[in-house]
Amino acid sequence: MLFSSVSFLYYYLPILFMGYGFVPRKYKNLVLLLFSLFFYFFGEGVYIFILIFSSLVDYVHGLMIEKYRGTWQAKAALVSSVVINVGLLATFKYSDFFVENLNALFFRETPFALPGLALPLGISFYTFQTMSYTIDVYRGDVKAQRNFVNFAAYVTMFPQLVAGPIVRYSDVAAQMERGQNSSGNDRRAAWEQFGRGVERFIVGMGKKVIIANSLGELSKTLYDSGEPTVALYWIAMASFSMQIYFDFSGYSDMAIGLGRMIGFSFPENFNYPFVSQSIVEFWRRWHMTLSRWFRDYVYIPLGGGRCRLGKQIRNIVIVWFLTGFWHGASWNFILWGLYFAVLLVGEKLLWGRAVAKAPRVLRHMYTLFLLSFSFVIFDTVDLGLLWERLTGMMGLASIPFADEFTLYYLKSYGVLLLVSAVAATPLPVRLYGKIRTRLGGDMRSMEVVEADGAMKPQRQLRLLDVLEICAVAFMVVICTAYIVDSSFNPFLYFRF
Amino acid sequence: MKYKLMSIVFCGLLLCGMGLNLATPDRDISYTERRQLAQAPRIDGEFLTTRGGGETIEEYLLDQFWNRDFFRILKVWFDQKVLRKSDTNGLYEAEGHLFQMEYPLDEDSVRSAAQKMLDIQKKFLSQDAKVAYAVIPDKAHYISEGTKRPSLDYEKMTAILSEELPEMDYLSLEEHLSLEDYYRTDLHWKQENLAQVTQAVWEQFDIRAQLNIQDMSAHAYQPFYGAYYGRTASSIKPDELIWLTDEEIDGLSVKDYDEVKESKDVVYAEEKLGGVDSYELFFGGNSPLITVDNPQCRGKRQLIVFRDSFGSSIAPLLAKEYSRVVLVDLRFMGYEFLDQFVDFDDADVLFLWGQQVYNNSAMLRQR
Repeated sequence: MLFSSVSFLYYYLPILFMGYGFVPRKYKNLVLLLFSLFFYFFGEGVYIFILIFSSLVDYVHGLMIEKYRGTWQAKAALVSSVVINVGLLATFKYSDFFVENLNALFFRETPFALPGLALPLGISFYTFQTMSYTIDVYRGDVKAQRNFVNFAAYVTMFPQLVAGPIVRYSDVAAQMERGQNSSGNDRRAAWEQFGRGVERFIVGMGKKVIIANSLGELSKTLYDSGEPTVALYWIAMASFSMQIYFDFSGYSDMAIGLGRMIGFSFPENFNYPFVSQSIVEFWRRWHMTLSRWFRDYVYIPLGGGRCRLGKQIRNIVIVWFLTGFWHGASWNFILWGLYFAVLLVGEKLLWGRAVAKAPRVLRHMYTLFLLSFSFVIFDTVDLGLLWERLTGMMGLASIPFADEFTLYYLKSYGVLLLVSAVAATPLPVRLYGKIRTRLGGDMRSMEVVEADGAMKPQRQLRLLDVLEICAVAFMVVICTAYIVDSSFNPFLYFRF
Repeated sequence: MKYKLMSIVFCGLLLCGMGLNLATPDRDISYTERRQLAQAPRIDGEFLTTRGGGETIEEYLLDQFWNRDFFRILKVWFDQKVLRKSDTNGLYEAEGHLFQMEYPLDEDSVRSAAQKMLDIQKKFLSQDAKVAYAVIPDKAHYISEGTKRPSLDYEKMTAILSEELPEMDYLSLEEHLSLEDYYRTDLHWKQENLAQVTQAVWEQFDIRAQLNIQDMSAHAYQPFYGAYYGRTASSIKPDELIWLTDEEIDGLSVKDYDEVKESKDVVYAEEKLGGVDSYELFFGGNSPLITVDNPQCRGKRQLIVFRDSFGSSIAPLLAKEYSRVVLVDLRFMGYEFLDQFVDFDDADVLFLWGQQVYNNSAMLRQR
């Protein structure tokens, strides 16, 4: 089920709010589990059994690790859990890729048939989440969950189930266990938390439905035109970059917002990555939960940056190879990961200091320039086509700089491209903060401190709040209009 | 207070939406979109265990969404007025008409169409057969330069065809048409405005006759929601669909070789008016092969038209000077064994396709 769908918005959510909001606290996890299973079943049918199997396996392994802590059995249980999870991923996500490449290398004459297994939705996310759980239990960072309902509710929790953010068990353990969120509030849907969740959800839906889908249409139209120009390649690249950012960060916003609505605090996944001034910084701001996962469970265990230079480089290459491969069973994703490995090693050893000393505007340009190529690699599965696009962008192909078609689309989507460029920076949020501060409030409250120390609502602030509520209502209606009209709606990250 | 109100507004909207959707009865057809709407799927064991059941339900819920047309118009309004997009779903509005952006010109496709035409000529026609081809301009060809969007290059297309078909006569229709000869909300031309085109075809085959449309009876139906109307949500009013009759047209005898069609063997299938596609009035819609016999025609001439849907509305007019008109639609039948169904002896042959067909000639079937 998509968040930006009629079935989710106008049927699933209202029923969930009624069901989840009014049950006693001790049954909330059970209700959440049932709703989450239905959410997954609605789109995936029988594939739900893989999800249940994964939950069951890691629940049992977690208990075993705790029971045999410090012994070889605990280690065996950990290895078994990792093997099963990686095995699930390898089977359902990578089997076609492996067979295809084996056939190409060794069995050209009598190739093996491709397994052709469908990719279960969210398998890359939930296997990573459950692996992090057993590893954390093994390390003693969290206690094993003894209640299967609570554990399964964590694994299957619908807001983050299919496209992240990758929520570790430690992020929500206390909330699952005690029925409280991380800030210590009661988990029942307190108005403020719920309202903030609504705000975040609507922002995410707008990003996805209005910006990402439209830019997706643009990049597809441009690439499909068959009349390439240099400018066309750059506009298509820019629109795809923005599409994937607004698509994925929009989904994360919706997930975080929904989490808040049902009383959970999920980790942030994006922090304005396009304002980065280096590639290292970019990866501190883009898909933060995935980077954190690889850092904690692969990079640091391999020795991280605290070993000799050769090993440091090896560690970076391994992590970025895996990051690329995680994104998809295709060579372009591996290339994409290795491209970042090269850039990160380069920044670490060669040009990082020079970049840091350069003027700020140059640092931004440097980062955006290198990112441009990364998005083209990410977007182009066919490596022959990738070469065509990259040389086209660089003006090395015999194509015109621009034509009537390119200019038409630049004009037609100019406003949207501009809006997306501004919305990808912290500018709108800062502007909003300034307006609130100027009116005498702060980002959180609509009350101001008067001279006598009393908190009183201010008329302008109240007006601003009313405007915000109207904006939320307007966005619900507009997004509904886009959903009703459009069939171009898939979340890009669903395929990972 | 702010967040409480926001939460109430949000939940209220979702609950209202759910209530309205549940209370609204399902519709079978969307006349504005000219299509059948998805109906509630049967939920059984197979449905539940099959992947993709959710998509089927979503499709149904989208199609049956309360006040769907209002939301579609709202989306177009937002796209055009707020985001300042020049087109919506590839469609744009200019000079009171809706246009589909068809671009770029696929030169290979045009050449391939020409090859198929040559193949047909070689296979079925004698050396002295009268053969001509015409390209019906896309109506975007007639928009003034200032408002023009990227479109198929008519001059380039006809230049390619004349290069590929040096031995075949070219019948130019460009000068016989204008924007007003097309429906505002549809890609097709209006039958009542085809007098000049009809005469140009007759003249091409050395028929000297005058077509007086004013002497014919005009019948009208409205609202006619054209093919473009439903794919955008514009403020343009639906068209009026006019069809012409007289004693001679009423006397035409039609044989439609489509075996599954419901409305067939008629020149005008009036029961199609108000259906999903009112343009199917002409011969009851698309068909691979139709013969139209005119018992009142004095001569014994036959015209074979390789045509697309544009051909449906002009055929009754062309038939006034032919004892038989054969309409062949290669989008629905291959030409390889065409001589088993069509007698090519002494026939005039006209290839009459719109620019879209030449530009997507893979749809013209050999087998």
